[in-house]
Amino acid sequence: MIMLYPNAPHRRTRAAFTLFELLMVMGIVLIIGVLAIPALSSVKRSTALTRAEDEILGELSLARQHAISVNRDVEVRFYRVRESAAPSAPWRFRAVQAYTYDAAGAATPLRIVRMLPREVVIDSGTTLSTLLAAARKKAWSADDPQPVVPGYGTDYEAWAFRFRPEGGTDLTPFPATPWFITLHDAGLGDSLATPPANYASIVVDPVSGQMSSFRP
Amino acid sequence: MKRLSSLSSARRGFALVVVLSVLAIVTVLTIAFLGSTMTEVATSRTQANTGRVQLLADSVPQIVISRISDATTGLVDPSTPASGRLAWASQPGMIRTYREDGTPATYHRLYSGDEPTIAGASFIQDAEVPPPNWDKQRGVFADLNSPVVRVDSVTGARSIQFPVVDPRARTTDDATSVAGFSYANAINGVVQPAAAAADSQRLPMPVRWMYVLADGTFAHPIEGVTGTVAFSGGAPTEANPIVGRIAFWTDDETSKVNINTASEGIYYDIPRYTGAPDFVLSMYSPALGEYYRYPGHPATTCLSAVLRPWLPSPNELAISYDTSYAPPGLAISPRLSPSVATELQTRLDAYLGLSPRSRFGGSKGGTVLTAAAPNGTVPSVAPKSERLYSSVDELLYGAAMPGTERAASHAALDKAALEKARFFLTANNRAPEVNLFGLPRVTVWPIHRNTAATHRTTQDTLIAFCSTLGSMTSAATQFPFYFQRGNPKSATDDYTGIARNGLLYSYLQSVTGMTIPGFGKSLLTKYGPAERDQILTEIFDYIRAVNLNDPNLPAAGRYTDDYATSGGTYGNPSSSPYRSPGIVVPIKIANTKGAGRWPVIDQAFLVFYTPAFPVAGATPELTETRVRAALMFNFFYPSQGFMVCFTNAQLEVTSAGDFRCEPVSNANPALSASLASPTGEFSFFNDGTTVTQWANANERGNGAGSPRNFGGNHGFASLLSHQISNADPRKKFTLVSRNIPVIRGDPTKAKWNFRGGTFRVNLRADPYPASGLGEVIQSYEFEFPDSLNNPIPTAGAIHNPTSNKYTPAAADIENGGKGQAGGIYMISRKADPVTQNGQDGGDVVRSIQLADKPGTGGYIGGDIRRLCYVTTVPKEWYSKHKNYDLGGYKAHSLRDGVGANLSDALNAGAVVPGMSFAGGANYNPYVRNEINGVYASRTGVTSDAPGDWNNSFGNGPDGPYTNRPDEGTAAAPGAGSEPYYEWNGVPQNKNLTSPNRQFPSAGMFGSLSTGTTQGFSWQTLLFRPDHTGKHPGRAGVAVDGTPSASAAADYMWLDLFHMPVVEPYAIGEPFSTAGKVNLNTQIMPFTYITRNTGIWAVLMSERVLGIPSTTPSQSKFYTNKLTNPDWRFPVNIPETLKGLQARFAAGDIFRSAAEICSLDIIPKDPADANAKYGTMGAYWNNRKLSGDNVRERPYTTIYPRITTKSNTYTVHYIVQALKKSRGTVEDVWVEDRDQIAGEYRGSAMIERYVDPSDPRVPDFATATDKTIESFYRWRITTTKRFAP
Repeated sequence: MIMLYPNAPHRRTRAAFTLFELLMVMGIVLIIGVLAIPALSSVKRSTALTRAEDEILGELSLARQHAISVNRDVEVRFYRVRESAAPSAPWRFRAVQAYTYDAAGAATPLRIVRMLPREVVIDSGTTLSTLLAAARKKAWSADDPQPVVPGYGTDYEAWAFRFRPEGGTDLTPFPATPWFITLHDAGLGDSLATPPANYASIVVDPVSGQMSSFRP
Repeated sequence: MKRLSSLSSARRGFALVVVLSVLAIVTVLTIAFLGSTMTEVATSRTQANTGRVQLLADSVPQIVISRISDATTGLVDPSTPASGRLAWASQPGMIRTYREDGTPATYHRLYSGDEPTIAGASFIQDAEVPPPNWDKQRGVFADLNSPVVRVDSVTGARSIQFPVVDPRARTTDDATSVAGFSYANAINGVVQPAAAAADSQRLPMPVRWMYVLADGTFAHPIEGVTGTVAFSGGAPTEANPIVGRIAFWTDDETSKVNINTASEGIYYDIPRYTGAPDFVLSMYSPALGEYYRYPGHPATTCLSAVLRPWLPSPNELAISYDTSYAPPGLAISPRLSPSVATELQTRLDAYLGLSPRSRFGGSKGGTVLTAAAPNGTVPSVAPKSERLYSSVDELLYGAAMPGTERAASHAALDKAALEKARFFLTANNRAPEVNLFGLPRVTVWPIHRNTAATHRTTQDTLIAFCSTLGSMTSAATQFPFYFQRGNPKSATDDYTGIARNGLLYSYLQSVTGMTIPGFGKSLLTKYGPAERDQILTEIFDYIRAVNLNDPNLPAAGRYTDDYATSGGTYGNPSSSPYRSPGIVVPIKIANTKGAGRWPVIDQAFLVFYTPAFPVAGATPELTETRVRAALMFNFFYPSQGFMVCFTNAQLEVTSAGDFRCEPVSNANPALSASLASPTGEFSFFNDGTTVTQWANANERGNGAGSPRNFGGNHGFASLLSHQISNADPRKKFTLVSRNIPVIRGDPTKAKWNFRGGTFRVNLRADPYPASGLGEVIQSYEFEFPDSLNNPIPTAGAIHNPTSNKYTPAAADIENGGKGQAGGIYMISRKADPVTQNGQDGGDVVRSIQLADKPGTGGYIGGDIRRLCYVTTVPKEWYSKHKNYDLGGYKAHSLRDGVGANLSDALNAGAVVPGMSFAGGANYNPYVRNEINGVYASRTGVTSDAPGDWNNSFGNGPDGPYTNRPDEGTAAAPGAGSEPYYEWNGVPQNKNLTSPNRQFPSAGMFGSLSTGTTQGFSWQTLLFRPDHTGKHPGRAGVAVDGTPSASAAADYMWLDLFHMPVVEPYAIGEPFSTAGKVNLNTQIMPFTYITRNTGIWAVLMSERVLGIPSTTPSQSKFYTNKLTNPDWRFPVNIPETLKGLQARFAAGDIFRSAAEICSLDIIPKDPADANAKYGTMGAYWNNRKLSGDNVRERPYTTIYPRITTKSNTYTVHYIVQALKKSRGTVEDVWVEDRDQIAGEYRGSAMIERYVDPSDPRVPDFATATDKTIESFYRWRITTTKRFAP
């Protein structure tokens, strides 16, 4: 017999955990896990809000920089889609996408649609999202037709504003209320009257095009 | 062992699971991390591209600056250093240089292309134009005017914006288009206006891309349509790849209308004929501050050329006149029809509302009375001092802020309108005031040598500043380029006493002696040294005699004696008349002499009169008549105009010769005469051989009722009518004979012969405040030939205006006095009621006049201006009057101040053959009777060029005038006496005079004589086209008319001078002027685009006065003021522009703004089909009564508003940052496959300027071998991104 570990303690002295021990540990882990589920869910929602905030800020920043770089209008569109395929499903702002307009006025997507995490929506009420006022709803026309959005086709609506080549926007300057949108947990509903406990507002300076965000 | 083996196998499996799990987690984390940074990476990459693009964009203006500097700063052409100085001229897209011999040197492209320059000799205009298929050559050409279509994100509204020129500024209708703008279908992509599809209009402006390689060098694409672009010259490599490309074109800002300086010009000139338009000019002349009516002012350039589609133009309003209107308290005087006036005011108000410095007011475009009466005040215009526009965009907004935001400038001017107008407007354009030699121009406005505010107005000071180089900290380092003055009563002091004047004079001698680059000719070659110096002296003296009684200065600070305080006024003569308001003693420089503002003697005459009633004898033939002789002179001022001037001179007269009276015996006793006195010698003078006589007039030009002192003819009454005490010895009239021969014979039948002699006259200046003899200004010699078989003078008489009766003059003359309060009619009229002895006849007068053709040869032609420019006038220049030998009583052609013939005067002749005037010979021009046509020549034959004579102001007689600037008159209009038709002298009014209202440009020199040293008469500087081909003022002939290839045209004088515009602000900075419009409208390389808008803006407010030469002419008869047609025609701009187009079509441009004088300014005269390009010679042949000054007037007021050089340019450009794709080879660019990483479109305005206080700047007055061009610096005034 060849001793692989001649100096090793006898195996018997390193016997495995007993079944009881394992069951106990697993039980404890299970109990801890069950107890931690609510807390993890909250963290997950918060993380999703952060992700969504980063996603929109990134898209806006890229859109603005692209407008400056290529000397073109770049339009940021906020997509309002149904929650599900059911006809009665509510409309929610869940996606954002930037389009570049060429010299002839034709729009080309800057990149693919940026979908927000399912846990997060952009509040559609003008109290929390002045950028989504009815007056800013995108009007499709022959010159500017509605493109197909993967997963939604043309069954969506869009609200839009543009970054201009000098970095500013086409938004009305010096508004009484700043131009902004608010992201919050989808479970809280939509068109809230007041900001929830956790939210992210993204403010756009209409003159300079600079963006800033606010978290409570 | 089995257990051991079994256990080991399980552990190995678990490890794999653990490793895979960890790997999965790491992978997920990595992907999540990368996913989360992807946006940031993309953003950073985009930002980096932005930086690259911006760097490229910043380089483009520097490229253009470099090219313009190369074109403008060198004295010589590097390619041919021996060719001498270079001239340069700019146009949109190009600067051309020309050698001293006139040949093209180098043309500098201001747009992207293969080569920045091309040799002028190799230049083919059409080869510069983009190829028709430019649009197929992707990657080779870039359309700088490619529009951007915008679809509004919310409304879906579609709009189009063009970066350079909006083609929609041109429509299918002229009336709704920007004036002078059109384009042809020369290349692909041009879409012309159509009735209902304005947005489809396109106007591409393709230029070649220049590819930028990594090492900063350029690669130039080879033409091709494949989309795969190869390169000439240094091709890109893998190590030196393509990193970007640029395309640019440079516009010339002087091709646009400046919104700060332009407003809406409303025409003004001195009235010249008795038509309704001229009476409106008279009664509704511009008030102080109405810059838009100052002749030649930049504010007369019309914004409506651009904005007419949105704001109707005042200058396109059909004009009609109301000839039944009488201003309150006045007689009927034409005015604009009320409806026209109202509409004009509305339109004008809209335009002036846009101007930051021109206010609506004063005459309101000639619709509000500005003549002093009836209330004695002249409305002025309050200053407007709004901030100047910094960009064309600001034109949208007015100055008013009714709330928190600025009001719109005008409801009709919206953003869309401004976009269409942008290509034609600018807020900043400047043109250098540098001559073709690259040296400073000399200012034409005189500045007093005394720098105190008592002698220089604020405008004077500003003009001096604008005309000075060098440091202002010390007089020693200042180099003024203006003439100074200080002593109007000396013929030398203003030249020898002011060293700088001498330096500037020699500076002008120097530059006139140099070959003019770009023309290959010189002024010295044309004239020769003596004549050149003579013209220079004339110019110097003309400048010196401007603005003589500035009402903005205290009386003591005015250049000449003040008019209001020392000269008296009409009806209120001064009690101290021995002053000299408006008088400037001519300057003498070496052997040359100026005209100053000084009288010359064009006619000398002897008056033989009887100082007492004849003593009757037993029979009529025994009647004894005493005959005395008096010597008289007629004074004439070629410097006709306002202000008034009062003759104040001494005449030192010496007689030589017999001057005897020889009664003629006859076999018939009834007809015979004999001498009853001891001697028949008249024996001049009463006080000895040489006497001194004062000539002085203070508002008493020709005795009672004829006060005329505006230059022109002043008559002889200044010898007689002194308004001072009879006790003053200077009042004594001394030019009478000492003896009084007595003729015995029948006064009605007997005859006597006059034996003549010679008088020598020294005309001296008033020595005041010293006494004694003044400085000799001019010497004359008058030889009176014998006159035979003269009648015996009948009793002379003095008219008493109070009693309207005639009393003998004898007593006063006998006593050597002459002082009748109302003046004296020295020459009694045949029709006078001499009832004492029932005889008529009166005095016997024999005159000698300035000759037509002297007996010794040559030609004077009665051109009185010739007299101004000689210090000693030879006796041969005078010849006896036409009736001298006819045996009648009167042989003279004396006229009063307005031109009315004195008693029995022989009618004057004609400057235009065969012309006569309705209303009588009183309107005949000032030439002697025998003259029927004058000629610019020294032979005076009908085949010579027609002479250069001038129209008078108002309806005065035409004649040999020098085109004096108008200092304004506040004459109160009365019945039949509107200002400029009214001859009463009134001091200037502060609200009617200012430098820029008086002196538009050096074009005012156009009536200064040339060729006088070589015997030429009626020949003046030629600042207009010569349709006869005979005028020696044209290029290629010397002043004597002989061909000389290197003889410059007269109009090249204009290039040496300028008039700074200092009102309402310093529009003229040191050596540059804002608001000028480039004559070179051709756009390189886009010759299919026509943009003559700037020239339209210049010409819209101009008028051309064409006075028909129908006989008798109705042009002067006052009664015709309500019936004469409107002969002041607007300019037919399209026809006029054909002259420009012809030059451009020949591949050339204008090298100097002075060349405008070679172009016809064509009137919109509906009555004459010849009023069009190519037939203007025939037109002027039908308008011969338009004098030289009238025909040159448009050039005088257009010239200061145009240029051929610009200091300001706008570079339009596209730059792209490029990135090669991996799949394409490195030495080509593949459009669509290689990547455009970034793009910038925009424009930058660049400006060259001189720092006048640059310590390196030498005194160019002595350093004429240098050039100011090398001292120019650059600044980028604005950059603008095209971000639609």
